[in-house]
Amino acid sequence: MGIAEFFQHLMNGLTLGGIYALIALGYTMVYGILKFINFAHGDVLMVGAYIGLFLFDWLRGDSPLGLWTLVAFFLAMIVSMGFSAAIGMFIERVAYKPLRKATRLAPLLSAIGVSFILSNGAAWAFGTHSRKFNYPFDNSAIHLGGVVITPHQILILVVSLVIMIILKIFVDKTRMGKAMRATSLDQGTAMLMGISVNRVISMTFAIGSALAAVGGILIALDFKVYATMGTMMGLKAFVAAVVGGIGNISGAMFGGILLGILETFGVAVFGIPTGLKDTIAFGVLILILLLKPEGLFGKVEKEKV
Amino acid sequence: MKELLSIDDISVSYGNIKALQQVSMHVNEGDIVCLIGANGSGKSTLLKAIVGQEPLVSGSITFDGEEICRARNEVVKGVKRPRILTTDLIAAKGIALVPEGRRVFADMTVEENLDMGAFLVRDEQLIADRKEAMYDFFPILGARRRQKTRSLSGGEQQMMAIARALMSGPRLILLDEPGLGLAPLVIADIFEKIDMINKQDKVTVFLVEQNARMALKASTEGYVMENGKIVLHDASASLLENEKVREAYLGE
Repeated sequence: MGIAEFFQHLMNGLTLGGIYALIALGYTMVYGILKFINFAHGDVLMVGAYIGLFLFDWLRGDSPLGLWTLVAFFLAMIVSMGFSAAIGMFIERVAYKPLRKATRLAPLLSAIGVSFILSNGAAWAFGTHSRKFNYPFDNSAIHLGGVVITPHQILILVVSLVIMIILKIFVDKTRMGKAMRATSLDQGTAMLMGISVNRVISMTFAIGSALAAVGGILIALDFKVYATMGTMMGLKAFVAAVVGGIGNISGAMFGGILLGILETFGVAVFGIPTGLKDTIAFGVLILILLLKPEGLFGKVEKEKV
Repeated sequence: MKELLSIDDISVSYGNIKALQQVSMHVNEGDIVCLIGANGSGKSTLLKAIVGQEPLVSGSITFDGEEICRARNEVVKGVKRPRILTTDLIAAKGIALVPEGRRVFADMTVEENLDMGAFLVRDEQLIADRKEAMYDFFPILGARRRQKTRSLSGGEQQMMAIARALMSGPRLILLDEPGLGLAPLVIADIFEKIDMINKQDKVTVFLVEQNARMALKASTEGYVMENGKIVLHDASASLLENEKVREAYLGE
């Protein structure tokens, strides 16, 4: 494998991984606070992609590719983030919050129910055919040395990087971000500080769902929009969150990117048949669960008395 | 003297086990009041009930003239339903609990822990001033402000938990076994700080301790709890002389 080929695969892996990371963040943040896997997260991604698609097509109208289409794309993305955040908060309020004191299995089952409602609802409302999400720019490949990069890949890298940096600053530096970390460390004590745990939970779902919408729109450009698009993407992002150490924000970012690179290199370099590409993620999941169940960045739960 | 905290006839149950039975207590503004009792007598349950972390089966709790907790089944029909405050809203009234076992946010730095203590304070300058005051008051915390709290010793963590509680500028601070598991010298240091908090910052202190001698010496008034019931209440100085207390709690 030449250097150019290596960088080609790395680029492809990084872009795929950036999207996994965006989605994995939603799983990991919710888990960090509620110790619960939101299996409807992938379907929120799908809803976000539909909203983005409709908005973009409406805003764009008949305009040819140009500055306006790019502006329209980002406008559609931001509005979709807002809607998805509201949907995420609504789902939490209706389907999870009443079950907070129930057994741990109850909200999990409720999440699987929400997942089916969303994907079936979308299939009913928008049809089962997949819709094309047109590129808001000319996506012809750019040749850099021997490496072929598409503007779409650059978009993915820039957007996911910017979002992850903003999220990291939010969580590390701001009052509400710190409150979120405190809540995930110790809910009871966080309440003693005057932190409204309900507000923190709502906020967590809002942020996670907004990030899922971005991930959904970014992959939709390549893979189209359809009712079950969130299922496999969601599962893989979940694997990424577990690999990084579920509950750990940096871990989810790292796990997502690692998974993207492993999938790309697995097919391209290690000769795993393309048809088996999806098995890589789950193979990695099993390996991690066997060898380091707490994930690469996770901590073994231990209380110092 | 003004009554700040009033606990009226409260009971708390865990299933069939009665953790607290018709407990009544009063804390006057500016005092240091202690509650002593053996392990498992219900002391921590009482503190949790005050901050709304244990539902009451009967009775009510009033802070500064305002009812903050009431048993749900005592809500009379037709009467406007009294608000049962959640823990975060009780904290906002000016009650800070330093919980048993300190419960520091171990993965956050000392400074971030103090920031969390000041979560309800919206004035950045005031937060910065209070942090500086805490670093003066507990110099070891200033030295370790950027360290993760998990790297602190037990005594340092206890000081941090107290500093964190003070960051909100509370009117009443509840301390749950501040001396638990610490060396005698460290305990003496912490009790000295508690006295200063009361005398200098005029914060009312309600202290729960197994270490009866330390607690009674530090306080003005004391309650003795046995099996979820208050069995004695007197001035701390008198309790130190009390035959029963000497025998059961002071090991004399």
